[in-house]
Amino acid sequence: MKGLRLRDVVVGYGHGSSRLVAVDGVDLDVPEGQLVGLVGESGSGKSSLARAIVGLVNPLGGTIELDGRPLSSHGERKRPHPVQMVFQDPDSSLDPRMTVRESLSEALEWRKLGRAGLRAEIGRLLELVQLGSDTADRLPRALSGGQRQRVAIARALAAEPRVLVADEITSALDVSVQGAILNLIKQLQGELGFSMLLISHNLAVVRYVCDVTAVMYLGRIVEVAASEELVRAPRHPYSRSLLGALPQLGTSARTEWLALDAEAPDPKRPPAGCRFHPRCPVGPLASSDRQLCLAEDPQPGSEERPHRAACHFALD
Amino acid sequence: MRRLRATVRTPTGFAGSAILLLVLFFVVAGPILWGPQAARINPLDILAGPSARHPLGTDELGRDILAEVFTASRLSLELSVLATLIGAAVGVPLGAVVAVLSPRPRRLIGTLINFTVSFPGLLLAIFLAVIVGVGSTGAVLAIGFGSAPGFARLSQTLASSVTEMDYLAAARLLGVSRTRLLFRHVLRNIGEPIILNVTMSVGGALLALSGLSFLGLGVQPPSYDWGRLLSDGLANIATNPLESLGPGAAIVITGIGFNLFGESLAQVLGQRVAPRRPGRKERRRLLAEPGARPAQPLPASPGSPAGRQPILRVEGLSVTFPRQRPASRPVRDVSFELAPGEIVGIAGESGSGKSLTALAIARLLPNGAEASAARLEFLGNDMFTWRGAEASRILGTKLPMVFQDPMTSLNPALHLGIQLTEASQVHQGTPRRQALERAAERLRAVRIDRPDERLCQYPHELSGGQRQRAVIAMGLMGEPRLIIADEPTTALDTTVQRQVLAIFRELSETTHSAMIMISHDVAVLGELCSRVLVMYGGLIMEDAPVGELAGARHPYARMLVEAVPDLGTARDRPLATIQGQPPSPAALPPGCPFAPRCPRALERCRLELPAATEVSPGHRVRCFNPLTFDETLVTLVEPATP
Repeated sequence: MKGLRLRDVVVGYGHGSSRLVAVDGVDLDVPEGQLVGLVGESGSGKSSLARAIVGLVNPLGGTIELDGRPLSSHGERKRPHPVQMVFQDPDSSLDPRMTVRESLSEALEWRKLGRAGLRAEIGRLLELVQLGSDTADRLPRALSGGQRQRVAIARALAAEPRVLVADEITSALDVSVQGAILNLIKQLQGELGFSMLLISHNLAVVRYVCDVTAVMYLGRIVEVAASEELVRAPRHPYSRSLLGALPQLGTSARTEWLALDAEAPDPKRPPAGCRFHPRCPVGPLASSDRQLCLAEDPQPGSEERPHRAACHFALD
Repeated sequence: MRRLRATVRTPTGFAGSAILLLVLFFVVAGPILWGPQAARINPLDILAGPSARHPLGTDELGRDILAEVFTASRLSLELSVLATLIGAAVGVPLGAVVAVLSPRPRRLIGTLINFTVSFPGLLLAIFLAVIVGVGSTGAVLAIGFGSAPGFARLSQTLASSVTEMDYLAAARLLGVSRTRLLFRHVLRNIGEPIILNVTMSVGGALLALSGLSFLGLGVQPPSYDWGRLLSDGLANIATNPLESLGPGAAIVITGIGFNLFGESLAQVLGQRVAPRRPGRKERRRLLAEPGARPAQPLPASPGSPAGRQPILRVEGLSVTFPRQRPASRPVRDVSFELAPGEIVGIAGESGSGKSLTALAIARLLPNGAEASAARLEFLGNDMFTWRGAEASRILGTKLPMVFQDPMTSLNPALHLGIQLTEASQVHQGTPRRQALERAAERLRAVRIDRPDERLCQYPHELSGGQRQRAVIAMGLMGEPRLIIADEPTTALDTTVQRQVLAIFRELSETTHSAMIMISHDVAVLGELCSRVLVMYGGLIMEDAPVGELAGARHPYARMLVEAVPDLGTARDRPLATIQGQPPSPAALPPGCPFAPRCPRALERCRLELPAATEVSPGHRVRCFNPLTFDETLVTLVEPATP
């Protein structure tokens, strides 16, 4: 398969009682040229998964492949990683002491361009993210949040990535800027054709940008479907509770979908059986005939269910 | 250079640099001007006391002590600077390298640094001096290596903070080699505090080297530094106390010089690296001086139902920073009313003035800000007349405020019980036991389970959502009549956000407390509020009943609504965006502040500020060319291509 393919990826930190398995056996595909979204709450492990994909943390298990070859075999010394990442906070992702030009030059080092070539390429990249060439000689602090995020995107594109991982790229930005960045990323993907994994806590953002959406809960993918399909007819009660909790102007919330407990349990001690059962509005705490969820993990066998839902009652 | 000038301008900085200049003079000129005199042996004047010719007396060979002290400046300082540089050269890279290493070697180096730091520096130096050999080379190496662990620890700590920065991760993904990461990103970003520390360490090295020479482990005869002179002088302290005073004073003054200079350099650098933000304490300081109040009353908001006394009445509220250059006015002419139990939302982006409006009402404006209003009444009382204890009592019990980050309102070192009961014990004189019961009841009201147990817990033992609810419970301890919440759910997950919003709604029903809810997210406000004020450039641009918000009339308000995708947004169309930047509150245009970015701006909009006009009952808009209800903005704004 062309594209990114994750099988049974496990990411963990710490030892003993403080041991945390942030990502617990994730299977996920980002086919070439596609936009895939990953939604989940804080603590669901979505950022850990992102960092494992780009190699910032070493997974404890599983395989990450690009075009059928292990991702690690794609890496060459002094060459950019084939998967690049755009981070949440552009304040932190740009070196405060480097001008835009210096940051982009660093990203272009591997191409060994001459002086003129470098200048032209920086101009092209800035134009790509719709920044004026006068931005090149500014320091990050002289730019607005949206402009900084555009620089961060330009830097990632300078590496000519096969896959772009965008981790909450709009959540640190003002509302009017968020829209512009989402428009930009969609437009760039259309022009350049890279594949993208967009990570967000906001289901509406993911649905708007991505073709396919995966929902992550306590280290696992609990549902994957075409975005429209997922929003229209979610199969997993957790996806439903996320949809129900989304504030919507002009429509009333579907309270029957809401999780029993608004907060997720401690990821260091995930519940037995189905991990969502203590919060599930249709699970064992709500109806007594669903004792199955207390004992049996619904993850195995999810392949056969619609939307690959990790729920014993996904068909209901 | 500018920073150096700023350093010299502070009193400490001036004193420090004056001393250092003096020291520098003796380092350069000392051996030239006084060297020959210090070398002149005079058998007739051995161990003489102070006299006009020899102000500090002479030594056992009849040499002038003062001349010797001056001459010794060069050697003393040279050795100290050299020792410090050795320490920095060894320590700084060792500590900084942890930022670019993988975890295992990082831990190894960390342990090594921990081990050497825990070893007393001077002891290490003496130990090294014995190994390397007695003499100035040995002493310099000893002090140098002895100070290295300190530098290593400092640069390790600073480098660790850089490690957490995403720019380092981004550079790694770009394939930048570790050496380049170290030099380009890590050392560059930790350079300033390191240089500062090196400067301050020269004083310490001077002291340590003098100590070694004093003990006979440092500079050996016939060379001499201040430490050796001091040691010689001490032998004769009974006959000529001034002999030891000279070198002693030289060591102390130079040491102070380096410390003062470093200290003030640190202040200047600190200001530049991290711009000072008003701390929580400062924010809580009450407004002492109400500004000038315009005499004529402004028309009040039509939103509140007639016949009931409003909880809050705001007319013509402005916030200014008069001492800023140029002076700025981030809030202008804000007027609205709040009825009991009413929940009003304020929407806007950063810099719109929404938070300052709330802080002005809660009288928590940062230092340097001044509020003025034609009328600012809470429960029918003029808020400007409140003073001191009365003001804190009313604000502390009737007007609680909830911030985005609950930890700004919670003390991490105190049990929740103490924090929740503090205000009611102070302001209402409630006995402790009763106050604790009330606290448990309030925690239950915000749906925190096992409230009695929670009262004995610290804030860090709660989850983010629980903390925010605990802060709300804290606000409920008095008799809140108005709750102001500034982005209270922005940092929370959507499911938790929904829960907190539900709690707010419940509270307004049970307590009849009015609420002001501030958010950048119009959808969140739509969930909770009956009315939403949209602010831009310090002005209320639109004041709309929540039902009419989806069809907001002001172009900016509509953009706020349409810029954020919801579950029904068409996926094949771009989101509404608006080019350009919001205006600076110090340079507001004469007309509508939104005109420069507005796709519907008329010539008139750039010249005149539109007044708030009612477009339908209870719906005011400040616009010369408002949208109609069913017009869409997306078609009006070209997609974000230049």
